[in-house]
Amino acid sequence: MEKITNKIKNTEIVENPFSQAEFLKKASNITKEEFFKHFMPENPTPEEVAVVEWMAKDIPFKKLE
Amino acid sequence: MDNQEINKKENEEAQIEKGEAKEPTREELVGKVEEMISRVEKDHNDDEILNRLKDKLIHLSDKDLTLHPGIIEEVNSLVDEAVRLVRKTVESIKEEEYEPSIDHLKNYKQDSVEAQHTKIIKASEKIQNRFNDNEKIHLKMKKAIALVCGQVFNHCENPYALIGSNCYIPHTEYSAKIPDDLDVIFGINDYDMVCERLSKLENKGLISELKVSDVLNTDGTKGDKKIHCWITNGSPNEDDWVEMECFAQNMATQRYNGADNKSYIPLGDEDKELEVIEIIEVEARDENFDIIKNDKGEIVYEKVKGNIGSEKVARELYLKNIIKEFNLYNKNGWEHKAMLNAKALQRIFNLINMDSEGTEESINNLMDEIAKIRPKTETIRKVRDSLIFIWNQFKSLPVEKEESIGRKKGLVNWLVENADNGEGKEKGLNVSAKGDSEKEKKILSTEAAVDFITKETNNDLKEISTRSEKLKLKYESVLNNENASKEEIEGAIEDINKERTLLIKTSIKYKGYMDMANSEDGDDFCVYAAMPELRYHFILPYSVELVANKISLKKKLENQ
Repeated sequence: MEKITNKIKNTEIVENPFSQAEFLKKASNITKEEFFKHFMPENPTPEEVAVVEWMAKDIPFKKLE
Repeated sequence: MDNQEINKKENEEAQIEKGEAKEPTREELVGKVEEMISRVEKDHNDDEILNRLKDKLIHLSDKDLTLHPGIIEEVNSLVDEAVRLVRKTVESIKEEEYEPSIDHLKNYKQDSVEAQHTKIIKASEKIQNRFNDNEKIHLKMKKAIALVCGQVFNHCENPYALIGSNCYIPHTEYSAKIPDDLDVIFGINDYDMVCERLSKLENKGLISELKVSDVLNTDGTKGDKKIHCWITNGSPNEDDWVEMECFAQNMATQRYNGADNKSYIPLGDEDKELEVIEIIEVEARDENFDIIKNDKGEIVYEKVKGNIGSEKVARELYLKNIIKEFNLYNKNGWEHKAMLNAKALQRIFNLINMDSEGTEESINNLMDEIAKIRPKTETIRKVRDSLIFIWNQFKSLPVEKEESIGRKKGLVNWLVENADNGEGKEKGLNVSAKGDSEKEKKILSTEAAVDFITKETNNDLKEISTRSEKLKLKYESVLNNENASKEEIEGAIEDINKERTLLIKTSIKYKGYMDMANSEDGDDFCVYAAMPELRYHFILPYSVELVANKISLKKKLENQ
């Protein structure tokens, strides 16, 4: 029988290094196009394209005028 | 129960308090009586009372269906009667059946106010048999429990109880979890005695690394006293050792004397039930902790007993820890996002697993239990809202059926077959049900999947956190360095690209998991629950940070 772990301590909470304010500020300075341009790998696979789109759909990007 | 329903219920409660309640319909009243009957059925099996109530309900159904004032009075009195009968019968059953099982508690103060709050009964055969199973609770754990209960905690004047996994396992039918540490709560009155006896055990080499500290409450004030040690039972082999954490708590006496912090599980302060289990037969020891021998020089053995929390105590602990974890997360500033830490997933599953009802009902029960906690603080509201938020998110997932099996496979089922255990290791989870029961297979599969995801999300959160901090230092030093060379800037961009590749790989994994979760299978909830926020709070801000810094570095490169 595989041992089911019990070793994660009660108080172990991973610190989130990202703040909401920073996230919103940085996202509002980037357009969706810039995000795709800089985040999408060269010659992406369909899986990579799908995942970058999956990420982009909830990022509050800079709105184009 | 969703947010809307809870709000409706609360509004109704508020209306009743203000005396503005609208007159209930006949259906609502009949529903209320039926609810009462089911409560009576749940609490006891007194046929006479049940039959009386059922007769009255049938009688009510035969009446004119139109609502008239008399029917309201009749149903209200019926409800009152049901409540009175439930209370009376439950109390009389308790009185009749309650025989305190305290012969193992040598110094127990039976007349203390703490003892009045604590019912200590012999564990049922079912609970004892589960505890006896050496595959569920290993022999080395039993020896450790026997040592500390027999030599320390059974000397307490106030109630004590084993909580955590050693309390959870005897209260579950199916679980592959094996307790690997020992958690105990006891009264602060017994603190000096416990410390003294543990110190003597340390001197005898039966425990090691004894440490004492104060537990801080979430508001920074001092809470319980915590004792940590390893129970070695004299073995030099660390594999034989068992870790123990025990907490000395304020009980009723301290609270009457002005202590304002209520302990996590207010044992000896609020009504609680403990169950006495027979642990194991071990060498009897004298007051100096030396093994006792008879006249013939043979070792004398004794069977040691110990207290474990009841199922209700186990549930209370998991529930309160879930609340604590949600609350801690919210303090981080991302309000209403309810990031579940890895341990919280296990706790939710444990709560569900202890319940005999289906998962969906259990989740609703969990919401109800949180809603019932008084006082209804802002924290409680947030926790409840957060859970509802995640549950609703889960329930709104699309369900695309797989033609071959006529339903969506679901994340738990997928992980059982395909979980990636790392390079060179066989894929899938090791689920070994002993019997043919579908329920057993399902519970053990979910437990293994929760355990796998617990480790995985915990590792990924740590990884992202550590890597992002390291990278931040690196690109900030290049960005802020006016004399940074072209090579240094290009190097920093390359580091970001490498990090992007890793983040995309992680994201593909979690997108895959989330796509696979089946909202029609409540067991997938515990496995799914941490993922939306892992995506929103870690993956998305990190991707934005990488892109923002890449753009800044590229601009710096262009200006060279």
